[in-house]
Amino acid sequence: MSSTEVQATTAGELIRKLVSEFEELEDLLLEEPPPEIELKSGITVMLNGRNIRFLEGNETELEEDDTVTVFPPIGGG
Amino acid sequence: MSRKILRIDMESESLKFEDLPEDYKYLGGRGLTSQIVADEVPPDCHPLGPNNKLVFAPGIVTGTSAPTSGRISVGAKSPLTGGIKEANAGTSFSQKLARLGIGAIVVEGKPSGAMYKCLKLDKDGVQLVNVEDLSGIGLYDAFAELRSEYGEGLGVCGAGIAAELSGANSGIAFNDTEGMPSRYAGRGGLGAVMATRGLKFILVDDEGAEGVEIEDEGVFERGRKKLTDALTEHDVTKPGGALNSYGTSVLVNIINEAGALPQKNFSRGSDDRSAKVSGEKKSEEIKKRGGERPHRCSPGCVIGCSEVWTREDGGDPVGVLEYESAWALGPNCEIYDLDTIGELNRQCNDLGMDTIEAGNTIAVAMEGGVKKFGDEDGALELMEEIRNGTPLGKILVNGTEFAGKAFGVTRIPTVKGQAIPAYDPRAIKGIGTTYATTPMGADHTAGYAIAPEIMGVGGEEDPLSPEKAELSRNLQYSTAVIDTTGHCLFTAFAVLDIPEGLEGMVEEVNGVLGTDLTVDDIPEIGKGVIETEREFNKKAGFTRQDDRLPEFMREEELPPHNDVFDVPEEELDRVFGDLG
Repeated sequence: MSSTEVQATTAGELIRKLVSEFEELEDLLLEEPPPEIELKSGITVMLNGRNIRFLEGNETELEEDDTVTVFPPIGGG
Repeated sequence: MSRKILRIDMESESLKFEDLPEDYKYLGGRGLTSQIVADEVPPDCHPLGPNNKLVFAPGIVTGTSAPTSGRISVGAKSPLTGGIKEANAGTSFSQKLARLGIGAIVVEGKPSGAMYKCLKLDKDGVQLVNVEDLSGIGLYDAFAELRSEYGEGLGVCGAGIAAELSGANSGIAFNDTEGMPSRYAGRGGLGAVMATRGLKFILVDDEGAEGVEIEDEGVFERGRKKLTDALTEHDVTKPGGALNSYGTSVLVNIINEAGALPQKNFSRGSDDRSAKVSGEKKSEEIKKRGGERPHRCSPGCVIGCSEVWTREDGGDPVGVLEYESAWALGPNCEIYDLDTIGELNRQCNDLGMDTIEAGNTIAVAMEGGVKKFGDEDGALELMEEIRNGTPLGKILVNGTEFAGKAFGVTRIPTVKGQAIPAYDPRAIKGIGTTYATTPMGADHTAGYAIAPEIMGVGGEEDPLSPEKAELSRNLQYSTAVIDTTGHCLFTAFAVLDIPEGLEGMVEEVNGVLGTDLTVDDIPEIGKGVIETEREFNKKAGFTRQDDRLPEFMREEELPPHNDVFDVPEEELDRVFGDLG
């Protein structure tokens, strides 16, 4: 288990900083190496339970006490 | 060897084989069960009366080496919904039936006596034997006794105590690869249709069987390879992928985060305690205590989403705890303990009940004050009421809507009398559109909009957008086709994203049947199946008012997103546009 602290004002900035901190995340999350942030198909990033793809994408603004969650490709039923 | 229909009249105890009619030649699985029910069952008959029929059919490619294709469809007029029903399960039973050349078993007639029978089927013929001594016995013991007496490797299916009580929540259990009654054609009360025909069990022995006839081995093999490659490549279905590693309960955390995991009888959409019943937590426990993960529901599955859940000491295996079961018997009743959920699931398997319906029934009973939410012992006591056939048990065994009415509950989460599964439609509206409009009653598997709405599989759709008619319709058509081929619905995760996989599935079917279908034919074939089913329902008295979600979901906001189900009625009617 690892932890870190980063400051970010948008979802894209947060992902960029996390990937820079934990390099192994790059392959797992991104189609291309940064600086472009293009999430791989099946990767879900939620802001307070809403998928950022249906908010403002990478430009989705973050505020104090927001919760961002990242999920790998998942299926079930 | 062309496929046969085995027709059993339980009143006269006559058994006969018929050639599969020309009209049914290209059907299997759901396509075949629904067609036979539509052709032979009067839509206005009483589901438990003499005119209903129970139909079993393996899929078109079931019994071959096609990957993840061990499904059996079971159809009848449903005692739960009053409409047509198809429920399917993954089990070696289906593969054995197909290898014996059986396209379908049709069980008809209603005997006047109460002597339960077991149908035994092998390459040399069929016979009915008395099994009255297995009446009133749980299915774990009954399956073990039958396999001990007739052969450990046999395929077994059976109806349980819930079916003997004529419960509208009684499923049909099939053997898993351990021989336990954990694979269910659970939904819609089909167990009661079986038991009221006087049939309690079916045993299938495929030793020495000729196997499934394949018209063009080359085409079949090409298709099989393409589909296998897609399944082993896609992130969701591949070895070490989400389903293989954590099972279907891998959904608990993401659906909870999306605010769509119903808690306390659909009162809110998330709760931090849900993580205690997640697939990740369950997988960790299995590593510690024993059991098995991954596991396969039937031989030849390349996904392996199943598992064997046990008690804390690693003994007394239950079988799989699916996402739906863990939710229904867990968070929906405010129960967040995997061991309690495991024991409730064991009771459902043993009594012969659908876990989704049972969990919802317990939740409405809790809302009605029969027990308190979160009362783990109380929930298990309700299962004993059913086992003992008490008046309370006889209410509970009839499912969520019946129990809700009996206990004065107005928030009853059902559509067409069938309980809503583990995705709150106020937070994921495409699945709500499927719940409302599928001919099956609330059924997530009928058009699994969760794939594009939550997982980003097969496209991406905003779960809160109310424009979902086209999405649900397309998914319902393609699902009807997958259910007809005999493939598991989870193959859709791969074939929706990998075109070669879908081509492979069609080529497998062409190889078996000698047809020249293309991917473009899929929607039309699926449409045909759904139209047959909806026409049956229309004749049974269904109108567009039956294609609606419960009032409380349209009016009561669901925390944390505080949304209601606001897909307009016109949008729901636009899915099929066929009911008056």
